[in-house]
Amino acid sequence: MKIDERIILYVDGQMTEDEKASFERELKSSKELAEDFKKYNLVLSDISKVKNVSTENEYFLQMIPKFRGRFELKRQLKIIPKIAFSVTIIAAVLIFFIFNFNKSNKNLTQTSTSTVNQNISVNNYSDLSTLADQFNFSGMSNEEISNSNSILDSLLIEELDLTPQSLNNMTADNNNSDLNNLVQGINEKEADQIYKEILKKKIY
Amino acid sequence: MTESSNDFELVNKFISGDEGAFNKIVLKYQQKIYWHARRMTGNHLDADEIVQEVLMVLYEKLKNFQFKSSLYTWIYRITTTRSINFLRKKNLRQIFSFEDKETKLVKSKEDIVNNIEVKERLEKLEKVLLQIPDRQREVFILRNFDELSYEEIAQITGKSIGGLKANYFHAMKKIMELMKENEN
Repeated sequence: MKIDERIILYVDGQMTEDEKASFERELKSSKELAEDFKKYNLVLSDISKVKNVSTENEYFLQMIPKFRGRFELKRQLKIIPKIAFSVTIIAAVLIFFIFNFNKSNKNLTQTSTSTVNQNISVNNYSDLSTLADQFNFSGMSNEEISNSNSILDSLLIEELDLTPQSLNNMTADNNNSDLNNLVQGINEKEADQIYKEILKKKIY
Repeated sequence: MTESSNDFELVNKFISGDEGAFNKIVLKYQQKIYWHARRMTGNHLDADEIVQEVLMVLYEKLKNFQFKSSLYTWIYRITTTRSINFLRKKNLRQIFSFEDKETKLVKSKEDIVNNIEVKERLEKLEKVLLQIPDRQREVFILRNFDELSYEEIAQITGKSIGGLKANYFHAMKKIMELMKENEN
């Protein structure tokens, strides 16, 4: 339906006073415009019939309770992500502490094990040669080397049934130099004789 | 006591913790919210969904309402915005929807209007309204059904009065054409 656009403007009150007066004059004189005007008003009347529609009253009575229910549900749903976040954070912190505690515990166990092992090796190995192999002098301080030497000396004294003085005599560098001088002064014949004498003697 | 001062009092009561005041606001405006959403969307189920969304927004934002506009203007603004957003989302959903036509028909049968004659008339108008652009439909509804002035509609929509008049004019023209087509 092609409608005279002036009808819309007139009914909607969008015309100036002059336009309005001119339109009303034409409405009286033009049958076609009057017919269009009638049809337009019929459509508006149809529309106005659905302006105030009677409805189920129950729906509007239930509107607030329905909203309250939804609101409560939404509030609960809002809490869930917060709880999940908090649980994740707590779990992460716990894992971090447990991991670090295990690590430090492991270090502590390793340290104490090595100390005990060292003690055991010092206290239990009576075999001098085995004990000597246990010592690693490369990683030791001067003090530790000195302590180790004293332990070795005490074991040597005990095993060889020596006095501290005789041990010093046996192990001192000057004695070794004397022995070297002595060996250098022996001729081949004397050496053969000494060798034969040693073979005859049972040392152990 | 004027309507706006009553609204002011209800909002202040709600801000101070009176939940009953919120219920009174809802009772006062629920029909207007529903029918505005219904005419914008063209069916009861969508309108119901929008009403619940609007109430949620009202409840959450009412505490910050400073009466720079009247409460009903603000409520209409929320309802209009929510309705347009809802329709956009619905259109997107329909593009990617696997829902069959029968399910959609069953859903659209749900209504709160019992009078068959009125229901038919309403459905006819809703069908026509859905064929005009959202913004034109919005102005047509506010002007024709809610009987608001262009100044009030401008407050709700944030558009100029001249633009609104043009929107109404085009909406009316299309509605007249579509109504005639449907009759034939």
